Amino acid sequence: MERRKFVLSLGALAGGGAAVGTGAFSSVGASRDVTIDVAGDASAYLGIKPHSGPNGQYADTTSSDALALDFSGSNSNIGNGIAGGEGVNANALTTFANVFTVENQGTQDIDLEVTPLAFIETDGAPFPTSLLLVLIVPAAFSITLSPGQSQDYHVVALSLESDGEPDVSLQDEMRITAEEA
Amino acid sequence: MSSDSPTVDDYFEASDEYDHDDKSEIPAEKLAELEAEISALQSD
Repeated sequence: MERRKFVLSLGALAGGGAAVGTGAFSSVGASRDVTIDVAGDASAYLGIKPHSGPNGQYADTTSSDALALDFSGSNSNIGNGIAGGEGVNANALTTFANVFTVENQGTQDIDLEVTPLAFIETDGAPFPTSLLLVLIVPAAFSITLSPGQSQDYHVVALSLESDGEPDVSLQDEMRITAEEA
Repeated sequence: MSSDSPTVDDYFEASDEYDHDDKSEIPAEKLAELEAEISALQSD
């Protein structure tokens, strides 16, 4: 009898020990590593990069690894992909297919939008003699991209110069927005 | 706004914050050329 009682007591003690083990502390402090890299546009979770085709040369990269569309003499790819051209032709409609790509390199579906899609500059008000219109052309204005999917963008430029001389240029910004779908 | 056959107006409407008053200076035939071009690009 005495032995059986002892065993039961031991069992009770073991159970109590386990309960004390999960609630014996009121706080824990621990250090864990956190690594967050800020990546350049091409390798970030929202990948913004020049298209892999030849017209990707017009999508230049700034000193901070950000993508910039540059159809001017300051494009750093001139002489290394662009054979000397420094701008679009006057009085012409110029099309650049597949200039840059935006890729979902994250983990969730995203709704992707680029705005504005139209830029215009004129000279000679109130009766402009020069006009430069640039359109950013996606396959769809707003699109949902799953991880690994991408959207290509084209550029179309229309130049109108009544005197045939290039008088206008255009500098602006486009915003690329991605939100969880 | 239609993504199947977008007009130049669709592009301007998708760019609300930009001043597009000067768009009226583009001759109609040039607008038609432009629309044919962007339509071809989007259908590729």
